[in-house]
Parts: sequence; C-alpha cells; structure tokens
Amino acid sequence: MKMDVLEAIHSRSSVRVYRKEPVAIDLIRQVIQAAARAASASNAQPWRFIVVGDKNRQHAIRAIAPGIRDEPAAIVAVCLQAPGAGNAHADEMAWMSLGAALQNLLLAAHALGLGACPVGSFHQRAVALLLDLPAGVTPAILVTLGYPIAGAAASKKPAPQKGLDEICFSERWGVPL
Amino acid sequence: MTADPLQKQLTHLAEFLITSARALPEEPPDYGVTRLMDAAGWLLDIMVSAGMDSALVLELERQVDAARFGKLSKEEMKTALDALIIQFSNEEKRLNNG
Repeated sequence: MKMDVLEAIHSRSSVRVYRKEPVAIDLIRQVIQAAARAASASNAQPWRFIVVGDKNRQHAIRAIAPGIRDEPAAIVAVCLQAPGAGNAHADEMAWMSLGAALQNLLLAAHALGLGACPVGSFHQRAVALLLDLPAGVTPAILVTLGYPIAGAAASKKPAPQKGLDEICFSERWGVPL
Repeated sequence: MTADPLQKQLTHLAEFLITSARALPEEPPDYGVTRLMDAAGWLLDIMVSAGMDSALVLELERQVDAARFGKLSKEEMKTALDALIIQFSNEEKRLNNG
C-alpha cells in the first residue's frame, strides 16, 4: 500500500488497540528505515531503535509503561544516543532530530497500513535496564505498532486541532497569515 | 521473577500500578482514571486466562473494555462506572444472601 505524503499526514492518528496479528519483520524494517531518513542536525543521526516482538519481554515492558494500553504486535523503543558530550545545544538539536525521526516512523507505519502510538508514560531507568542500554543512550519514547482494528479509526472523535490563525503569523507575531 | 505464569502476570500488574503511581503526579489528572481502568481490564484478563471466567467476569471484562476504549466524556465515564459498581454490589448481595 502506498500513500501520498500529505494524505498520510492528514489522515494519521494514534492507534492504541490492535488486532491480535503479528507484523512481518520486513514491514517493521521499512518503518525504521523511513524513520532513519529524517533530517538530523550535523547529520548526527542520534536515533537508535530497539524492536521488541517477544511477548514475555513486551509484558515486562508494559508493566513499567502505563501508557501502553493494549498488546501490540511490536514495541519500538526510540532511543537517543546524545552526541553532545556536554554540549547543551548539540543535545537539544539531537532531541529535535529524534522528533523528526519519530514523525517519519509514525507516517511510514500509517502508509504501510499499520497503526502506531507514541508512548511517553514509562519509567525511563527501568526501560533502559530491561533493554540493556549502554551509558549515554536514553529511551526517549516507546512506539506501539500493530494492525488497527477495522472501523476503529472511523468511530474515533477527531483530536481537536488549533487553527492556522492561532499558530502561524505573517512577518511578525500576532499578524494572521 | 517467578516462572509461574499466574504469579508472573499478577506481578506485572502490581508493577504497572506502582509505575503508574510514580508517574501520575506529573501527568494530567484524567490519566488516573485511565490507569485504574486499564489495571481493572488487565486484572479481568488475567482472571479469564486463569480459568476464572464466570459469566459475570466475562460481562465485566466486556464492560470495562467498552469504558476503556469508548472515548467517553467525563460524564459518560462516571455513568458507566456507576453502572459497573452497582453490578458488582448486586452480585455481592446475591452471593451473601443466597
């Protein structure tokens, strides 16, 4: 399945409940490869991904990640390998880059017919411990992946969106575009 | 961690509740309802998978999942929870009087 980029951007929403059906590893690879094509400051590519498909390991992660609300086919831990070495600006840029990779990941999953949800509610140190993360690598966000339940998206109330006049200005603050 | 599946599942649930308690002070107040309902759904799942699948448990599991994923407003959630609590109380009364 292929999807126009703008269509993917405007039709994507978070999917929190999944069909009990595995997702082929090749499909997950495509999603990660798309994430890794994101822009990154100084081409640092500070992202690292850990795909957790084993059910026992997923259960252990779910126990310390209250934001995971259902059993997905896979959990992708999106991690930051900070390149800053104490340089605060480089670290901030790395986090920005990670956000771009996350959005690519979510859009690619959607375009490939998968549902995904970024999960920020988890215990960072416990996740780092379970995933054997080395020093200097931080679990930034978890993404649950799986096939959405048919019709679930259509029954969802759309998330409220701020209007363009509220978020975008022309030439200076407060002047509508 | 124990190898006994039931004990393992219950330990995970306890861990979920503790992690939720750690996170909730920094999260939006509504998340408290979500976490407790997720824990209730999880506990009912464990009960069903352990063979404690009476008609009441299955019905409660169905209703809890409907409340968890139903995108209910705050008032709708309160109504759904009231109905569930009354159902529990009726069952308790039936068991004690029966």
